[in-house]
Amino acid sequence: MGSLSTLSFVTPWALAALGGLPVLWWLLRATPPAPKRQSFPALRLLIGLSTAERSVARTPWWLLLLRLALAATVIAAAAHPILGAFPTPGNAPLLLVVDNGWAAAKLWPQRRATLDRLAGEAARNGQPVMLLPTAPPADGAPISASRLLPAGEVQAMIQALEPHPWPTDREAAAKALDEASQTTSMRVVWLTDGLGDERTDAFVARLNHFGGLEVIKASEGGTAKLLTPPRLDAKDLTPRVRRVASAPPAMMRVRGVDEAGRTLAVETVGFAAGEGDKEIALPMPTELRNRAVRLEIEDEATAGGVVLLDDRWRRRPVGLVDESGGGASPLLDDLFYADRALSSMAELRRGKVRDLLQRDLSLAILPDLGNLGEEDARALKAWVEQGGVLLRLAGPNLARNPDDLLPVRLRGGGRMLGGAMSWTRPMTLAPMPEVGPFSGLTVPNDLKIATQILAEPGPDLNDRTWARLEDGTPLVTGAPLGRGWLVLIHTTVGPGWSNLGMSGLFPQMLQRLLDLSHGVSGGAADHPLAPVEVLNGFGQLEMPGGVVEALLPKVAVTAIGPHHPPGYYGNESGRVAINLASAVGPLMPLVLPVGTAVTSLGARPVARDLQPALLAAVLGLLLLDLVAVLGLRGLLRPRRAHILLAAIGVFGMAMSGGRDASAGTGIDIDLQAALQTRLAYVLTGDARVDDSSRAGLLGLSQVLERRTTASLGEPVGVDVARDPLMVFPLLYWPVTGAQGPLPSAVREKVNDFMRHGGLILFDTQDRGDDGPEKMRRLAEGLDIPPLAVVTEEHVLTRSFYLLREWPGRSEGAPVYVQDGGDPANDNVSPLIIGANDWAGAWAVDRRGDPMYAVVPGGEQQREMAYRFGVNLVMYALTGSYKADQVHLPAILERLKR
Amino acid sequence: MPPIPRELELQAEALAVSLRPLLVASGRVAASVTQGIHGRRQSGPGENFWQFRRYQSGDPAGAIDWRQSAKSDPLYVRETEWAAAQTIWVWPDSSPSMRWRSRPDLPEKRQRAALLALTTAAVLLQGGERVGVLGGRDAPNAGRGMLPRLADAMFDAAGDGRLPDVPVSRQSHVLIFSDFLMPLDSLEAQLRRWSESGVRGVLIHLLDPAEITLPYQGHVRFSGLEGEGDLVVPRAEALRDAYGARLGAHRAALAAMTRAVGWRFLDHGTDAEPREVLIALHNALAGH
Repeated sequence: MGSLSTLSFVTPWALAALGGLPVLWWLLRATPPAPKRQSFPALRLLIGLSTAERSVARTPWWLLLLRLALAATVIAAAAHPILGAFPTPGNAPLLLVVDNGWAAAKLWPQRRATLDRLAGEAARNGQPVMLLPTAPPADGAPISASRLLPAGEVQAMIQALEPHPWPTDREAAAKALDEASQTTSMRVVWLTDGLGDERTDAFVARLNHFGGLEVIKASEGGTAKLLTPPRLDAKDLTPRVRRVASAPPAMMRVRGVDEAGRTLAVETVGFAAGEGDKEIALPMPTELRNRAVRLEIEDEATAGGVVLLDDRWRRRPVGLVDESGGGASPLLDDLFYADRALSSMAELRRGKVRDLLQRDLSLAILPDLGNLGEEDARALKAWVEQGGVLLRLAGPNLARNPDDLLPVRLRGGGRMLGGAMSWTRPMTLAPMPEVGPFSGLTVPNDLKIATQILAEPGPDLNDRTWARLEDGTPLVTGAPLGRGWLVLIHTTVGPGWSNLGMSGLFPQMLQRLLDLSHGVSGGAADHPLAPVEVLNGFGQLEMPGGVVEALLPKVAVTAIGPHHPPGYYGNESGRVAINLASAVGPLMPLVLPVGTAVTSLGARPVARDLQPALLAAVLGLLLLDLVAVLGLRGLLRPRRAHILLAAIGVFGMAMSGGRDASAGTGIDIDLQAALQTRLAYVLTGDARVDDSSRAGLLGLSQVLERRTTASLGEPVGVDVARDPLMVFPLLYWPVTGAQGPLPSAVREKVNDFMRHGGLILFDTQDRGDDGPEKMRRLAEGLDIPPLAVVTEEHVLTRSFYLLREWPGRSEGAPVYVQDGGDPANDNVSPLIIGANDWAGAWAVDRRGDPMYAVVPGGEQQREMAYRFGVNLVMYALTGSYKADQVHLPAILERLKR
Repeated sequence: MPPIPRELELQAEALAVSLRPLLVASGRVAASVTQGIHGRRQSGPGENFWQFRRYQSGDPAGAIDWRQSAKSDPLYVRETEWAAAQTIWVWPDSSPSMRWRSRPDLPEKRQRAALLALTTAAVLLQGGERVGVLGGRDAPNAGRGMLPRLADAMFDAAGDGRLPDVPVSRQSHVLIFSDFLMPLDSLEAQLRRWSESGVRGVLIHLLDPAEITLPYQGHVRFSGLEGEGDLVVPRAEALRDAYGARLGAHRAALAAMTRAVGWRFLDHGTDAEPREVLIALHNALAGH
């Protein structure tokens, strides 16, 4: 747009000085530079020699030219030229239309700079400016255009303009234009966020009324992206990334962040051209997943690139008390149905009461087992008082011997509904009561309860009844105990007494009970939820402003706007996350009518001030002149010349914006490894695992460097099939499911490595998936010696630090080494097998900060992981050297005698 | 980096390795010359075997070669060849005009002069001759240990470009390394005096290439190194031919003067390899 070739001067009269150049030329010619100084031993021979021609020394022509150019540049700089100033269209007013919705937060600094520039031009040309933001303002007022103002005042308004965390409303913006009733023709510049919707066409038509419309727009790749909340029922957190489908291929990273801002998980998602919507899974251990409060697209600081998580996305551990260790007929087992109902929404653990309570539990399900042991009952009670929810399922045993871990008192014996000896038919449930955890659940009509256990009537039975049969008898009762709850389903979940376990109602009931376990009362909130923290336009949480209103109960939020910005609503006991994505449809690119002038956002400014460049040229020419004069007088020694030339070079680089060349390193792996001792990891082909291994060994190497005399090089990844292994003392081998049995040649190589003093640490990095199976598959055909769990006697416990446990990112899994040891190999085990994901705990990023949180957590655990690493490397480097200490007591004993 | 004398000494020894040990050709050898290893083709004091001869009474018993005598009845005495040494004086000029070079990649003339002098000295010392520096503190002496002392002596003397007037024994040799940018009268007088007392020698004329070609251009202020003052030349290139002619005349005068006293005259530019002039010097001394 505009004619770029126009050149205008701010002070054109300065050009008159160009007329003085010939005089300057004459003057310069007449005053040659001083003679060059030269020492000369044979001067005696020169003295007395007179030249025949009596010629006058002259200034060399090239120096003359240089100085004339210098003078001309100074004059030109004084005239202050501006290249390609926009042709001033009289003094027609300028209408600046700015999209400042959530999508404009992307590239906001560039947008603001563009606005500044436009306003600056208008100020130079004396144009009045009207500013129209298209998103509703934060104070809740309707969208309005400013009056026609002097450009200077608009510049102040532009400084105050910020992107809002809600979408634009172009319909309202068009209306605001109508109200401004500006009839004269205006130059219209629309700084758009690049997104369109069905109301955009009308808006564009309205803008075109004023005459020429120019649109400034970021490239398709620079358009904002949207992150949608993950599905509630998936095993992992699986948000979707949406973007404009016409954008070029791109890679982006999505990460999960905890309350303190630590990254819990990062995943990369690649978009092909034309792809606009992609789901991405962030696999995390449950404990980490429950700590995640926020998902975000990296480097996308917009409200749309952030998803806030609340309790709905927590997966809670549920314990199934299973004393029998697998029943004979699973289809009759209550736990089978509980398992099926919960598997998609919670992490399940089966086991005895004692084992289950060793880890955190939200909900425990206790089937009809007969008498609970004294100790177990006490432990369960204590746990419930701490805030656990105990769900008991009725059955024949409970009917015979009710104990006291129950919400209500029970009458002995069951109640049969239907059957040969009864008049009644099996019954279904009454509609769920309005209050209580199950409020709002619909009861399927094919539900049949054949037998139940009756509660002893009492004054509080009614309050404690959460669900009733058609005849009003309680079917689910619950009572608080300490900070937790005792809940009883008065029938079986298995097919013995009812078909509750087979109905769709059962999972919903369990979900409600799970919610209960975190203090969120069931159902939708029944009181208004006050805003706690809201997102600003750049996706950061801040305190809500005065116009933000509380969320009304049971009203789904659809209108994200100044009154309901995305953010957290609620109170300490529970908060609800409202995300922008729920109010934004699929992202569509902006479609403009043919012939609209479109400028790219990052394009060069239309008007370019040439004065700074000219002044820089003057400085450069002065330096050149200095060098030339020094050279002519013979004062320029080569060393000085280098300094001067370097100075000029630096100056030139600073002017052109120096770029650095990064040199690639391509040394052979075995050469690298042979030159310096270094740790190595096996490349698995899974980029995430490989990155983690590399970062982990890097972290460990740094710790070794700091604490021990082992100074190791940068770790390398090796391909077991291709690279030589013999040069590495220790090989870290993360076992992924994708590694099958090794080909025989590779197998032989690995066996050879282990036989001749190499040490391999196999890490199955269990995340609840099948570690032993993966290991078995990988180890097929390897010479695995008989294994034993590492005991306190093993050298590994004392090769540097004295250790009792070996935590990595997770802890508790046993660590195996060779049983006994091969004397030929100094009793050093050729392999160590574990599952604690050590690399994850060791991993550090470029700044040396830990990359992953450890589970269950604490820097203590990470420290222990590092200590294990140090011991491991010492074990690999020094063998059983420290084993002597094992015999030290015996040796001392002998010395005493 | 070792100091200059040590560095030059190393260079000189390296160069000397490629040259044969040198014995100065001496036509007339005074009977009083000091013992050295000039084989005089007759028996006398020395180290090399010359001949066996029959024992005569009066010979010391220790002179009998018992191994030879045991082969037959008569007793034999081993006689060695008579050896004698020559004295050579070297004088590398160290006047200010010698401390100059036109380009940083060239050696200073003084440095090259010292290198040539030292190399020659090293070769001579290998041959068993006695070498000394004119105007130095030490008297001429033989032996490998002399070389470092020579090197030191060359750099000790801050000369003024004038030949030191020290007594030089008859029949010795004098090697003068200089740019000879001095009035030739005093030099000629000295040469004549030496020549009359039977001293022989070689003049080695060292010049920097810039002193030969005068490569300067344009407006130049030339300044001398020995207080000759300044000379401003508007266009240095215009002087080149006249300067060349004058330099040629100067050289010719030098050469003629040298020939007149029966000495040898050698030319050397500091941009040339030292080996060339060393071989020429070697030949001149060996009398070829």
